[in-house]
Amino acid sequence: MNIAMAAQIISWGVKAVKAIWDVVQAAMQASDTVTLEQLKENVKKILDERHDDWVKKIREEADKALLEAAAKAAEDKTP
Amino acid sequence: MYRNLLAASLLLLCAALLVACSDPARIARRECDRLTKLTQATEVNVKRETRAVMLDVAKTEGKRRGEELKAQGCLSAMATQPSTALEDPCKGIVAASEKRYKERQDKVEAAAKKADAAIYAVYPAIAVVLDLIETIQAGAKASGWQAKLTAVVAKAAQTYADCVAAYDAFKKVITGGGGK
Repeated sequence: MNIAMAAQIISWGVKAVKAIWDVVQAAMQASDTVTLEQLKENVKKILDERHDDWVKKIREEADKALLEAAAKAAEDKTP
Repeated sequence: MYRNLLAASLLLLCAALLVACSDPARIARRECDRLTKLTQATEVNVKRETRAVMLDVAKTEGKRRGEELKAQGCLSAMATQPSTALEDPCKGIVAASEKRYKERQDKVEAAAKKADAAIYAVYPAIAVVLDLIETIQAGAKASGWQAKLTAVVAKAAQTYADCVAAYDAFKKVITGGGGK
């Protein structure tokens, strides 16, 4: 009788521990802003989308701005 | 009896919370998330600041070129032509302007490229950490996995520190405070 009761109590204890562990895991996951999969995907996307010529594009834009500013200043009638 | 059960449950809950919070893989993943966001913010700053400073240099130099050409009586059309297509004194003005402009923009461009390279070294380092976390979470815990995880996280953190240093160097160059 005592052994059966002890086994029952141990079984309840194990179930209680598992339930608490599941709740804690769920709470920790809910508090995460991003999952491992999302983070991996995000990093992969950044690396895939990388393009080296962004400085070159800015330089081209700047070259145009230089000529426009030069022409504007040269045409300016004010002394 | 019930009071003891309640106390035991609370103790179990606290223990579970402690274990969950101190999970090395979880801590490492959070660090990766933090580093990714910080690196992305640095990347945005470098691109925005490079564009701002390069356009500013171009407009300032353009204005100076135009004013000098006008002062020498050159035609305004000469402001948009390369120095090689012109005769002196207009040629000399445009050539000097081209030299100043190129020197300044080359310096900014080199600093921006250095910062960009440092930024893009961080992401692969983070990817290594994430791959290891995935392996660990899948249950494939090889011996010494905690030390290995610590090492790859430290490597990612160091790569980010290098990226910050490169950004600081870039800021010095664009503000005219240095740059080799």
